[in-house]
Amino acid sequence: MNFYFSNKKISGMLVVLPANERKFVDDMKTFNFPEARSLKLKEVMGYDKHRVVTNGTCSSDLAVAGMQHLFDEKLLGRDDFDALIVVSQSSDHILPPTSNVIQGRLNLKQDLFCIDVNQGCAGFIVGLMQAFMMLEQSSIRRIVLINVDVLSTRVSPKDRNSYPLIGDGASITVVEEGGMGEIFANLKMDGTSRDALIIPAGGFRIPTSSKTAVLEDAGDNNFRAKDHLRMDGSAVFNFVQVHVPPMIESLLEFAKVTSNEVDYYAFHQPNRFMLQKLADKMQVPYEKMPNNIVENFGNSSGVTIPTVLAYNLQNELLDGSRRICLAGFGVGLTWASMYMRMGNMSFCNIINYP
Amino acid sequence: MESLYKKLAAILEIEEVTSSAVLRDFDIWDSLTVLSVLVMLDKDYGINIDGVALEKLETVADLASFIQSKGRK
Repeated sequence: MNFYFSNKKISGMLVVLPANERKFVDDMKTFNFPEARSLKLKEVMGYDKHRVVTNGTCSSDLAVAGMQHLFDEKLLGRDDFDALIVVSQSSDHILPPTSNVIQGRLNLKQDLFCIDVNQGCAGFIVGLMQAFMMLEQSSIRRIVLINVDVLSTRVSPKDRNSYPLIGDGASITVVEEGGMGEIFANLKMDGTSRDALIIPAGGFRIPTSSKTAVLEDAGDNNFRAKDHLRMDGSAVFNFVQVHVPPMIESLLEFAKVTSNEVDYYAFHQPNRFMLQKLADKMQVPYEKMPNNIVENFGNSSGVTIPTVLAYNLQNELLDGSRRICLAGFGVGLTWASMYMRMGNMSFCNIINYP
Repeated sequence: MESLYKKLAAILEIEEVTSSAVLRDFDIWDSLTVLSVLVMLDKDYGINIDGVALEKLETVADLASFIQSKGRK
């Protein structure tokens, strides 16, 4: 389904990454695999380093640190926004919403629409759509969109499918009225494939217990528990290759722009390999579709698109503007894309936590 | 199908494959190899399947006839 917005913009973007870095060559000692095969995996997928939290750091810790940074640097006033959208799949508690936890820890005003959205790899685009829709209300003039996940603690270190690529992080995106032209988006979802990306235990269907913590042989020499993230790698790969290229084609048609007119494709970052295959299929040059986030920081779910932008296009987005095509795809399953002119931001950078 | 055999041999890092060889019996038949085969099927034959469908095929000959039934070339 298609969406259209106008007179709305992203005015600033901050990414908060855990300072703690893990290296693939250390991770692979835990895998039940010959070293040569692990090194082959590293080479093909482009795994190298990834950032993961330590000492029980939770989503609100990363978010509060980032918000405090913006307040301290006078990049955002603490009363200058009317909604706080938190997109996450690693909430501090089952309830209350993490947005309220952040509101409370920062002593934010009560006239603040706090809402949590459970979304993953398409979460940046879903969050932007939510923000744009809220801006239709005259009482909401500016919105803080936080994407945050600390899922590394829910991935088995003995799961070669997911552990080498997992990353943690938060991004804070300020969305407000004003404009740089029209914004086009589309979104599709398929709940029948929901098991392709799942943490089976920990909700109400399968509460955590000593049983759900037991590592099970998942085949292919990988071991994980029901408490752990389970990704059906080949099914997700197939889903992305089949659905993403036609989605982008339909988006650009809707926006009436040609592929050449797009300056950058800032896509979710599952791994370098998948992005290269997508670029090949879409006949987009690699330099227009940056793929260097997993090898440097890991795949932090909904935070990867802000990370791609801040890491690769900081100068372009601070000074002047660019025509950007975004795409996110993952849990749900969900696939979403957005085309917009982006730039003249008041801030666009990455900081470390702590 | 001769080119398929060559492509499979390259992915499996061996000299040559025979039609009766059982896919999962190869030493390096793991998720990474499965992915490499999926990519080859997509790129060279325009076939998109997932790993589960691929694992249902027993031998190299089964894979070859699967491609012939689905493929565009």
